[in-house]
Amino acid sequence: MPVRVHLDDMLHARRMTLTELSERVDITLANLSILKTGKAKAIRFSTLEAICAALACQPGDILTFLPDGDDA
Amino acid sequence: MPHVSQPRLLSLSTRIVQAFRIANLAIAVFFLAILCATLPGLELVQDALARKYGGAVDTVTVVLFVRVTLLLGLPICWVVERLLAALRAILGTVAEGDPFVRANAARLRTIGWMLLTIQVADLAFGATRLVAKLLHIDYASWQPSFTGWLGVLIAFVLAQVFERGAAMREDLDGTV
Repeated sequence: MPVRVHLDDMLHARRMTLTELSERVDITLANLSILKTGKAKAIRFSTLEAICAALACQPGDILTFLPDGDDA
Repeated sequence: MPHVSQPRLLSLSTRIVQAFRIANLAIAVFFLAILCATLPGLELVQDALARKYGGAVDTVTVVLFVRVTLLLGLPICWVVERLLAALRAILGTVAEGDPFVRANAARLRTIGWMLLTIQVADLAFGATRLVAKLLHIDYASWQPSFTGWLGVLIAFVLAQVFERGAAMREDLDGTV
């Protein structure tokens, strides 16, 4: 999928585990795992807002758009 | 209106559907028994009819009418069973807490087709009644059923609503 999720990188940068994030944003670990592995079909604005608040980042730090065929 | 809790209403609906299925099976067995009885006991039936009509009506024609009615009724019992089985399956998904699935849209469409078949058979029954009246044979009364046709329409509309609902639900699956 052209939209890539960089939740793992942000968690690493903030020295935070997925479980800690799950507790802070009040979203189940299972759902965060789906998001982290790029298996989610859509993300709610409320989820994005909670994650950005917890990780002190911008939506663009978590999600990036890469056109098909661009592996960079 | 008295308040009935959802689990109780669901349980009651399931029991009613099951009771209808048993009643439908009993009717099918009854129809079959009568149909079989007119074969070996044809002379007895004809004697009884001759006493009833006093020779005013051809008893062979009356027996033929009874058989036609029963032959019309037997497939309808199967149609009603399919309808009730679909309804029972829908109630099952409600009990499981997940009724907005494509399978239920298909079941509602099945219910719609079964209701349509019943309505067409009802028209055939009405036509039989008309012929029976012309031949002066006593026959069950018949009236066109407006609510039955309305039921067909509602079932097909609900099937479309469920299909759209299931598609929207699938869209939401995987949303975080």
